[in-house]
Amino acid sequence: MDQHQSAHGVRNDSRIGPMLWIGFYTFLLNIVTLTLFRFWGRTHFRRRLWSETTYEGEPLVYTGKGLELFVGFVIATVVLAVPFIAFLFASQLLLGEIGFVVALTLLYIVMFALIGTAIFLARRYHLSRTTYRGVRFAQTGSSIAYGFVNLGYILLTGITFGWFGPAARVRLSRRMWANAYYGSEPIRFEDTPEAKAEPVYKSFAVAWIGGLIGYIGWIALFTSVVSLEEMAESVTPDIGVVITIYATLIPFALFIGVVAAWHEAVMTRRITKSIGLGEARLTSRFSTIDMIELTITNLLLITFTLGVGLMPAQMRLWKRYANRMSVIGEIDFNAIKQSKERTPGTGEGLADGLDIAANF
Amino acid sequence: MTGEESFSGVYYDGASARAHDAEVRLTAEGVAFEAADGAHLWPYGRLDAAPAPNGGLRLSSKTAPGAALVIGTNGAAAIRRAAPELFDGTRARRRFIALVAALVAAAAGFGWLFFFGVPAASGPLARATDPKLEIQIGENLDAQISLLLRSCKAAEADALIEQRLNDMAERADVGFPIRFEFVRTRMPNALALPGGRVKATRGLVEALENDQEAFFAVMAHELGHVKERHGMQTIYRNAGLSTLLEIVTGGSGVAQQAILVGGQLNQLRYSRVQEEDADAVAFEIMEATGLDPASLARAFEAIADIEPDEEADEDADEERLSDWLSTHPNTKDRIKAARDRALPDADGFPYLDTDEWAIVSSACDPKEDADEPSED
Repeated sequence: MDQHQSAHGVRNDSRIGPMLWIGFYTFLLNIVTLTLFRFWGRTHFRRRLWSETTYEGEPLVYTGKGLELFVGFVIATVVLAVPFIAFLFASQLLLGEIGFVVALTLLYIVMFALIGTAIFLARRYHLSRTTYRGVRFAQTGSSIAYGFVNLGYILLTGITFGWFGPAARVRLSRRMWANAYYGSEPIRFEDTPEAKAEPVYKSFAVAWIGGLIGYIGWIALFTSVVSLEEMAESVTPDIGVVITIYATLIPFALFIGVVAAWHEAVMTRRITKSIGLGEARLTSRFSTIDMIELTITNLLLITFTLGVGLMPAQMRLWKRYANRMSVIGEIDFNAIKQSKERTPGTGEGLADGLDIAANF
Repeated sequence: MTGEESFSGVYYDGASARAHDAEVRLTAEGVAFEAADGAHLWPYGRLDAAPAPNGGLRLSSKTAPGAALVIGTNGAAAIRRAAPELFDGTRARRRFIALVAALVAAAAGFGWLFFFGVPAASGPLARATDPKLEIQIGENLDAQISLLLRSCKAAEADALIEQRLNDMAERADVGFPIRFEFVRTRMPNALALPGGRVKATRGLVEALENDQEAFFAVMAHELGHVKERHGMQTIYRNAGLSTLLEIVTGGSGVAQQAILVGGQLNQLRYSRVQEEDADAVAFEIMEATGLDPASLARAFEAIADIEPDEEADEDADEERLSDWLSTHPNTKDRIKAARDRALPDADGFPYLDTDEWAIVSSACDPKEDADEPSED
């Protein structure tokens, strides 16, 4: 039998140097190619990150191609961005004032619905290009439906001042994972006792109240060093004000990162512990300390490398997340057949067009 | 190769997640192995090798899509000896260089379109636009711009100027009926929207110190924009550039682009080339209507003199709209060009009489500025 017990966890052995190198040459080539290289840079990064993530000594394999991302982006541009801009211009130029406002409102509703759709499509591409032991992952379900559900949740989260947010995250994760497959085997998303035991709302309350205090503190700090009246009068942004904004934003972001760390760690565990495959299920030991440490060091890494360190920062997050994850129970790999789901030919164009970070 | 080397590996057939133990031999033809589903031979020429954990290799073959053969360090060393070309990075480097070259070429193409193609196409497109459509566009833009530029509500003064401008437009074949309005802004400025809508700020009349001839010279310049359809050109240019920007950079986000585009539309700014064109057409209009082009030189001098003192007092909205000179070509050159075209004997222009001009010069009462929420 080729069955695996839970003794071996998931592992990632990526190192920062090679990822920094990918980030660096992607940064340089993005300049000379007006960012067109980004699709290939992202592919190089994923290929490496996947290959260094193993379970039972066998790595994930990323089979996506830069060209697929590029073509996906071109398609999304043609079917979305160009009509979008044309509609925007036409409504501004040809409709009256009220007509323009109505058109713009409708446009933004569609845009917000498309955000969810884009996330779903990017995820579908992601999974379809990930194989393990030669078998593909797959995402099924309707991207449009996901988009509208996401839109509804955004509205509900807004109406409830963010308090629907944690529930929305769990529900959206369920919608994703419960429609995902590893080969022929459906992935489960279940409210296991361990998952339900995570203090989702207690940790959220800390993040929410801490965030509010942090925001008030930031406003107080900012207004104590910059005169808002002077800012309003100034036409061109004063470099001193810009520096002050960033200088006060960094400690604010760090503070928010720290007060939200508990909740983020809880949500990571809540979702991970809900995912299962066959007789097995995932578990996670991802801790608040992990989150705080990564938030602070990654923020500094990205800031002091002027963005070049984004890929290494993403790698570090994934590495910690993977190394804290393990599988409980058995996966009968012998019984799992190749996925019959049709794989999308292109990917992530919509997410790229909408500027949505499609998980690495 | 001196002889066949053999070692063990793990074979994934791509049909299931089952791992098959495989006895691998390196033959002259390729990688041969026996697995539960039979014998396989993967020719070296169709092979791909990727690093596997612990120094091993993951082999795949174009002859068996989806399948993989994972071998350990011993096998990897043997493969390196048997098929060194697989690990010679020359082909991969060449492909990478070709990719980067193609992307740089594409970026250069976009750059050319951005800086030359789209601006060049905007002129012919503007000229091909149905004037009725342009008038409608101008009307809608006017309604939106009016939120920023408050009307002086000086109907009588507006009508007097509008009448003269339509007379000028007719004589100089401008091609659009002119709609004129004074706006409540202290900065000396004038602008032309698509479809013949012209606006002048109350600050312009002040800056020109009631020099009626200089005022109509500035208006002739604005009629030059109308005749050349510069407003429509700007719209086409902005639309084209926004689309290109989205196509190339993408990462900046459609939503942000939308905001950018909206902002651009609300501030129709003319390029230096358009300004020079408008000056040239203004000279023709002035000659055709009996105005001395040298009066435009006086207007430039008056506006240039007043601007540095006024600038510090203006609020942000006004200042953004006040760069009538800053977005224009070198003022000294323009003054010289206007003086070179001087027609001291020009006459026949339908000037306003003293009473009428008095109505115009008092069209926007500065005292009412305090009542305007958009001011100061």
